[in-house]
Amino acid sequence: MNEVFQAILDSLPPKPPRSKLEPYAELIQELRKRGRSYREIAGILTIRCGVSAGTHTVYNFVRVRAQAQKKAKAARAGAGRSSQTPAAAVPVETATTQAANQDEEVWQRIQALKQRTPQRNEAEKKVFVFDETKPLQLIPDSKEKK
Amino acid sequence: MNSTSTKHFEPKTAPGAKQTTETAPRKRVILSMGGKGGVGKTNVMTGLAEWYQEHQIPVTLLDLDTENKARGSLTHFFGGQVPKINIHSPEGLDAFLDYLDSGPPIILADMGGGAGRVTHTWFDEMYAPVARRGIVFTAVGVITADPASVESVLAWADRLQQRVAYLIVENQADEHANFTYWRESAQARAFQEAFQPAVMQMAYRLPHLETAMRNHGVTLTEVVQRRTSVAELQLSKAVIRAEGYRERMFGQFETVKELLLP
Repeated sequence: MNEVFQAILDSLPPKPPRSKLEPYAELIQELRKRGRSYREIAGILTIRCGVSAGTHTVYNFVRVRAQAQKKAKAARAGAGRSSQTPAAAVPVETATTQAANQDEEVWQRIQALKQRTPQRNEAEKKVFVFDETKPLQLIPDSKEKK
Repeated sequence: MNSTSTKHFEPKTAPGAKQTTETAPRKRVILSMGGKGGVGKTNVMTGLAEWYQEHQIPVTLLDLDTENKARGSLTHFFGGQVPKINIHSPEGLDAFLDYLDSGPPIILADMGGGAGRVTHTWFDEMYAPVARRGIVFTAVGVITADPASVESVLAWADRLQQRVAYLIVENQADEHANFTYWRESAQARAFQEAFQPAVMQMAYRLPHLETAMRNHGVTLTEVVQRRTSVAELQLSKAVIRAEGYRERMFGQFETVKELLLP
């Protein structure tokens, strides 16, 4: 790389982690291996580490990392099999971003589903109600007309 | 009946019936609103079957009257051509679904007096998938001077709501029949405003003719065409009377035919 460019890169501070859970990745991974639920992990992080994170945040974090790792592994395997595909063809960062986007779409669908008003049964949309316990009431006006 | 006429007709959408189908109606189920017995439900259904027969429109007749009365049921009038279905059993309901999915474009289902609860439950569970297949429903309510007949129709409407089109038959069961409770009660008015039912009249019939036809399971058409061996129904006075009744009844069906065709 050009020396000037390298100097610029070296002068920049390291990029802050994408998630506040990044420093706890190892802990979270181990907790998952030990069968802890996302809810439990969120509780442990809050109480023991002072990190406030919701169940969905923990879930997202784990899933995105898992998918990114899976894709990176697949990319490496592909590179090994095909000499025409360079190892850097599917960068880890791109795979991570794609996985994050997919995950985001799933959560958007979940939120949309939650917000959707349930379709009520036709019978529930009553436009007419009849109380069988009450006798038929003649309308006074029409009775007088007769 | 289940005749095999090849006559075709264009599907029509019944007015006043906010029935939801994703396709044009391809079948109409006409069911009598059971509940109050002896108001003339089977008379109306029998008359309707004759009307379709007159126009050579194939119809499936279903007798869902689980009271299994021998006389005065559709089976009694049309014999073995009318399958009797016990809708109180899951097998019976499945058989009904089979008829919905195939066969003639019209089903006449005569419900028995005790069919209310099971029919309402069936509608709650099955209406949506059935309606998606282009099947529409007309519920026929028969009203007499008896307020109980009105209450019965209103109770059904409370459960069926807008899923069916309503046809109300004012049956002049006696010479001086009045329909005060149907026409002038607050509840009936509310029903009329909500669903705007089609209304037709069934004229008073002389008891001796009516009773003999019912007793022997003979239809008006059979009397008119002298296709009965019952002596009292072969008399000219019976034949001419039957002709008059039949013409008036068919004339009334004509006025509400959009609720009787798919």
